[in-house]
Amino acid sequence: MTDVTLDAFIDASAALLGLTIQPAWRDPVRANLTVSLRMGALVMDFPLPDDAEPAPVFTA
Amino acid sequence: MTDLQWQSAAAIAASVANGTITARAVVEATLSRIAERDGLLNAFTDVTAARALARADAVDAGQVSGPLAGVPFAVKNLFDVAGLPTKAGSAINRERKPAERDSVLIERLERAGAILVGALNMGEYAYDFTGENRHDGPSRNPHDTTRMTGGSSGGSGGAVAGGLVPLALGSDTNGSIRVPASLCGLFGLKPTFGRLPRTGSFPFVSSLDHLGPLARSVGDLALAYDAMQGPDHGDPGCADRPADPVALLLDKGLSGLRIARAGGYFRANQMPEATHAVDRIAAALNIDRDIELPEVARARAAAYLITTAEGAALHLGRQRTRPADFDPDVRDRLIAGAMIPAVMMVQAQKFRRWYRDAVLRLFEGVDAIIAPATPCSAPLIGQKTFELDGVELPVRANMGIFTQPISFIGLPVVAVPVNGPMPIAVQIIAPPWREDIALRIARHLESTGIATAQRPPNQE
Amino acid sequence: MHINLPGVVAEVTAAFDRYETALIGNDVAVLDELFWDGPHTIRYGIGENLYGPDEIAAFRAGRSPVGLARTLGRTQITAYGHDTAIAATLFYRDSLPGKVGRQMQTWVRMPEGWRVVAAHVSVIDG
Repeated sequence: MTDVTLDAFIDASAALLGLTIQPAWRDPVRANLTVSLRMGALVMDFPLPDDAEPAPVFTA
Repeated sequence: MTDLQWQSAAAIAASVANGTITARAVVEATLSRIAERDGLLNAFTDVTAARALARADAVDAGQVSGPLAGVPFAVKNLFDVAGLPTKAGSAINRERKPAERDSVLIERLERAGAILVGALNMGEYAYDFTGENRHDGPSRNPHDTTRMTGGSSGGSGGAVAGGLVPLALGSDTNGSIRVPASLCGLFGLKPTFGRLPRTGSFPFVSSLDHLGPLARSVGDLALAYDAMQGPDHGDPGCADRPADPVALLLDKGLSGLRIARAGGYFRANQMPEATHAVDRIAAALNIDRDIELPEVARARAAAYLITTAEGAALHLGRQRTRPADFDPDVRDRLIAGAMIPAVMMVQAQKFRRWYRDAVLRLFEGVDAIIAPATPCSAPLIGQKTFELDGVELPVRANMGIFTQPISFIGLPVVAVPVNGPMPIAVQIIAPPWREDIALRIARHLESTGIATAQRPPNQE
Repeated sequence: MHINLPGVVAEVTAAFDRYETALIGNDVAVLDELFWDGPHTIRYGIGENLYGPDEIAAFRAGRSPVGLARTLGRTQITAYGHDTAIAATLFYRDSLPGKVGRQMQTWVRMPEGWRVVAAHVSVIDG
């Protein structure tokens, strides 16, 4: 994802979440999100069967 | 007789029990050491002197007794202490109402006779591996006060390694007990996830938060751990298991134990001192094989995601109204964490079950695994980057690369300190609910002198 | 607004102590360093009003290094939030018998570190 697209995503998400991002914070927020999305891609890349259960299981 | 400040909790308890010293004298000496040295070490954020002296008098009057009677201890300031607002290393939390009740683990230690002397510095909201704090200043490593203690239980590491108290409690989500244990040269116990109740503590990531002790000896870890065990319904994450006392299991030695060294991921991205420490421990344990955990990098990634997303959710309200009051490093991660697509979180938790099952299958063939606790010994306070395998990487994000994949699936770990110009620890990792195995191995290493909590250089 | 966050007070105290040592020893380089190098910096001295870093530096350069020793009293450092602090102190000099000096400094955290952006030094009967 380009910086421009990511910035648009950050702005839209911030607006949705009610967060204000000061201009000086944009670079580190983008950098952190980039890292997290990379981690996310690593996790998404792992094929899991449809019946894979999440680790935490709710008990009624 | 060893100077009081370096005595173990066990030795102090024995001296108080046989009348050699009063609990009051112990506490007065503790308070005076804190007054003298904490200005530099900056481990404490609150000292509960009046309360401690009153408890000491109660011990001396025979109103309180137990295996820790008279032993001073302190707790990371995310633990509720009655009468104090629970800071959790933040500026914002300072405005909270004072806690009405101590956290459950404090209550249990005090029921065993231990005496709380104060609350300890930590990285803001526990989202930290350095022990530095924008509001309270950095906790300083007693072995070299220009260096960090590590975090987020920075003050816990500094207070025990600096001889201020023999025992401290910390929390560990991705490494926050094991990292300061490593950088400060201490024994640290991160028990099995769900072993110790978190009731009465400020959270970070409910999916991953553990609480546990730091000390200068294995015996002291075990004493504290046994006093704290047992279910508590106040923490939904606490397992409904009766206590498994370990005190009598420590000296069983190594016979019958199959121990392996973690290979692959755990052999890369580290400074020579980390590899060297693991290899010394491996030699002392006669380890002759490596074992490879599957998909470790992915496990670390999943833990990273769950941490940032749950942390972001916890703090969203505060992020909306007063983002400038956060540590900027914490704030910028929490803002980003709020933007992670939900599907990644769901997948991370599903992967977690896969990874847990795969690693537990490995434990069918081995009783314990050793791995580095940190990629290096203590960096300088304020140091932003370090070089791992020739690559310059940020300290904050990478100090937990070896701890994070283990706490991700809640395995019990004892961090054992290896001596050197600066100390560094090795993780002894056991299967779920087998803290006894990790402690037994740690005790063996301690008794042979390979793993000891060295004293800071000017305190010999 | 958090007043007197311990970590902030500790940092400003260290900077204040460094300034004091430099003042008594007339370490002009450190004195110049610790005053903010910006056009709005003001120093009202005992006998002079100085505007901006050039006037302040000129004063430092021309000051006699003799008789600068002093004793401080009632030093109070107050931090407002993370980036601003007021350091106020009384001082006593042998050359000013029966007098008490007052030094007030406004410190601000700049990218380079803590810097004095405004200062006022005066003397009254003690």
